Amino acid sequence: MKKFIDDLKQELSKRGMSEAEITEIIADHEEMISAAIQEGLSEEELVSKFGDPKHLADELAGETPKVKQDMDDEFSLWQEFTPTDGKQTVEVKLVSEDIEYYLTKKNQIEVYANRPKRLTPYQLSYDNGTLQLKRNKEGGIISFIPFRFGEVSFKIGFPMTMTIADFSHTSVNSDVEIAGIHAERFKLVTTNGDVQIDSAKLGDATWNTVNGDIQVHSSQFKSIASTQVSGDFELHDSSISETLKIHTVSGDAKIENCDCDLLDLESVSGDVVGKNLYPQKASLKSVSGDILICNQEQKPIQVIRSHSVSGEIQIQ
Amino acid sequence: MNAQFKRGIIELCVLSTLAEADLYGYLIIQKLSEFIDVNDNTIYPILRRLTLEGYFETYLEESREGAPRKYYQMTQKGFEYYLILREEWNAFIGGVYQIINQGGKKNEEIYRRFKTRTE
Repeated sequence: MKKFIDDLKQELSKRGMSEAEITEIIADHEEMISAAIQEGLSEEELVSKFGDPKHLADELAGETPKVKQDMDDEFSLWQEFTPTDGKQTVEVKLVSEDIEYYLTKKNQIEVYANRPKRLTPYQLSYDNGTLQLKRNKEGGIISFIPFRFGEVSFKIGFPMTMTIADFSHTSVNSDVEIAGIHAERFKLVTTNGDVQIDSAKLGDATWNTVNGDIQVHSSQFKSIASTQVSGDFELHDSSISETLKIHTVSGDAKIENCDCDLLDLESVSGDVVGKNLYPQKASLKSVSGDILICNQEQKPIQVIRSHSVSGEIQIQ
Repeated sequence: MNAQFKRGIIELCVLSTLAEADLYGYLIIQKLSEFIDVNDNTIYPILRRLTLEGYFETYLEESREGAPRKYYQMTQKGFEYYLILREEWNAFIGGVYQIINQGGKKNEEIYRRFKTRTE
């Protein structure tokens, strides 16, 4: 079984797992294999019990919550909070500050910022399970400062054991990154900022953007309601147990390797392409945008509505 | 079987065994593979994730054979999660059972009715 351990080590590092994670997984397997040998399992039985290191590494990479490894140098800790019991809420209202939400192994909510001297316009608090970060209304000369000295950016880490009941983020120009976060309801409103979501579990997710692009990878949802004017939307390797609703004016949408119950698509002039997109039911509507779904597997899609004025709608 | 669905069921099985006793990794695999077709590849990643999410804690204990073993113990949070999943699953499987046994449990009878209808 030495080969199993060696292969596993290699496969795990190929998938970008940290040294500490690999050491722990390998130690667990050495222990389990030696327990199995003590029970008198033959080499053949061992192989069937422990299976394929490649497959195991894939599963582990998929199951392991994505935890942030290193904090960027220019950021320093602003405040930390110990989560209280009960319902957790997050409310963030910003203007043009970039922000990243991530998971941490610690049991604390941690808020980092890159310009510690410029935090006076911001209000940060954690009360009764509600984390709030806001930029105060300000006028006059202060509002020009960001243009002269560069904008403040934030990074907020949540313990990976924490489930957030309501997560809401509102900003104008901020770029937003979300990695691994677990929330039951998620609402995001932005005008120009770009949004990236990776390895998150977001229950019912709603977002509204005007020009910003949205990219989602490897995440799970109960439902998505995406409303965009001219921003583009990309959704990859994700599953939606109920409705995937995409309404766009001129933004394009691309969906790859996803499944959902109801696909509700409305586009004015944006083009929508689905590749290996498997909804049970679909409602497709466009004015001049094209809608194309091309799938490898032949799974029946019940088309409830399909209507376009001058665009082309195709399911292959 | 749908991978997501299978994962959910195995998760419930792992929670069930640890709701009753603290166990070490290999023993969990052993107990589950007695009844269903699973191995380390399916169980360990779920066990590890549930531990990272705070549903289990671990401690080391010496074994009679020498080397210490990592035991998994369910936390209060894990138990509450287990109850929710168990309820959901019971309601679901109860419904499925009703549906597939609507025409009785005997294959011969179901077949006889099918034959008389289609002949």
